[in-house]
Amino acid sequence: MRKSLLIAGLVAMLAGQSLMAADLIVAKSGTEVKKITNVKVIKFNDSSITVTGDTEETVANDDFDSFKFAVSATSGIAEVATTSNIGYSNNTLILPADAISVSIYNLAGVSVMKTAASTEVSIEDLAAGVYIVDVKTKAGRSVVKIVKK
Amino acid sequence: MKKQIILTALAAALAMPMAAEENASTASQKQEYLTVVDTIGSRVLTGKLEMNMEAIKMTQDSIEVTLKGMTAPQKFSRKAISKVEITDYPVASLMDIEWNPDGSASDHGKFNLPVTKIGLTEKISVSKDNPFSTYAPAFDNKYGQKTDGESGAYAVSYLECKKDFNASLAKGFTMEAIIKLASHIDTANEKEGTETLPDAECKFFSNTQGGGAGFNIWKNQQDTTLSRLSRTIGFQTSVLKNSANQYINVKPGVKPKSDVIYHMTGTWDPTAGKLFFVLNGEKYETTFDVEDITLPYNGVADKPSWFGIGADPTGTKNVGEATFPGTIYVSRIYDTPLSEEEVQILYNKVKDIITKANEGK
Repeated sequence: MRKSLLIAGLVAMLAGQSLMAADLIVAKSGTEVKKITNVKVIKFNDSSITVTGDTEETVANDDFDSFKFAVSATSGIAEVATTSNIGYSNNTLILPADAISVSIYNLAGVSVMKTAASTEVSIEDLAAGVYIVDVKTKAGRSVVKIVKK
Repeated sequence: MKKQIILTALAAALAMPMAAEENASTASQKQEYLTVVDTIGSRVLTGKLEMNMEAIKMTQDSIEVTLKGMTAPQKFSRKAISKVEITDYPVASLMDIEWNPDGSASDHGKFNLPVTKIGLTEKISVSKDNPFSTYAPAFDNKYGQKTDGESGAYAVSYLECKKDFNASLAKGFTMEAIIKLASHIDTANEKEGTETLPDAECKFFSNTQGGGAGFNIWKNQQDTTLSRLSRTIGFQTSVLKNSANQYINVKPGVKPKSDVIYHMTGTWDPTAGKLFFVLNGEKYETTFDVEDITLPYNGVADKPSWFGIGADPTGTKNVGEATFPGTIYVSRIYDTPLSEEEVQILYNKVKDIITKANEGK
């Protein structure tokens, strides 16, 4: 029997799930030099720092005198696409061409799938239930709730 | 023919801003964790990130880190720090053992605890030919014996930092392990190869000599609530009650099978008065009404102050007992009692690997 998948696009907060973004701003003399979003690693080298997030940036010590790292919610309306071009077919998510990565969470906030850029992602292995799909694209981010039946 | 649905995600939210705000205020928060690693690889600070808080301030010379629950930032010299990592899962800061190809091992916890082989060290072989593709020790040990006989183990010593280490444990902690009993240990038929399996305890990650905490495969024994409790894997910690030592045990009544990989956590939460054990995602717990942990020998310096991996400490220096035959993939201690949700996150990280490896077993 063919399983059906209902996708209702909602921001994460409407599903009771608020995502976090960890951003780092490198500055010199109070002026922003670089901003790296969704930071995962900051490496301190002898003559520079290397920051890995949505992008990887190396900043020489001479090019900055301070940085600030803070966490904020991404559930604000301004930070979520007002329309989503995420679709599905045969248990496969259809993602936009500029997708960087997709993360899928259950409603407990536990990551159940994470994969790099692809225009199609199979969710056949997921059990029936409600999930939050977080797609990062070059243009920003789309978060949708899916109900797999 | 493919069916495609174009989503109009925010239409409802934009139409109902009040509802959106209300939901945002009650939303469950996905946690992010920050770990500061020094230049020798020790995790000198771990904790949760606080929403809307400036977690790190850095100048050319120093780094100030503020995490959830901290009243003041912790300051580090920039030269002492190698990296900061942000993860969506808890990170073990009290102990996290990594094995090297030559059989030696290193601790990535904040105390950088020394790890040494004890007993018959040729009984230990390290390989990464396993489902996790990380170096892991296999112990060709006898079941439930001493290391000065026919078995080997690792000792992770906290002797040099006993006061601080004990203080960290006393606030509550979670231990995590992933293990596999050797294929010749047939617990179903009580056999060790062709011999009868000894009616002894078997401990693979513990420090329960005269107190302490750890995982245990208990021997067959009478039980007050069951007619007979056969071998069961579980978790125990020693507590003070009316000035006397007492072990609090979680015994799920689950007999581990040979050649099957088990992920487990044991959490001692003194604030909640709760001890819980989670085995491959299944939770078992007990409660207690005491407020302290009894650490081994209560700090007597010449007695063993070490966690055994592959065995449990005896009262004699560098001699283990209750030896474990099998493989140990993970040995970690978190310096805070993790919640049930956090423990589940740890299991979910390895669930697919374990499920696949255990298929048909």
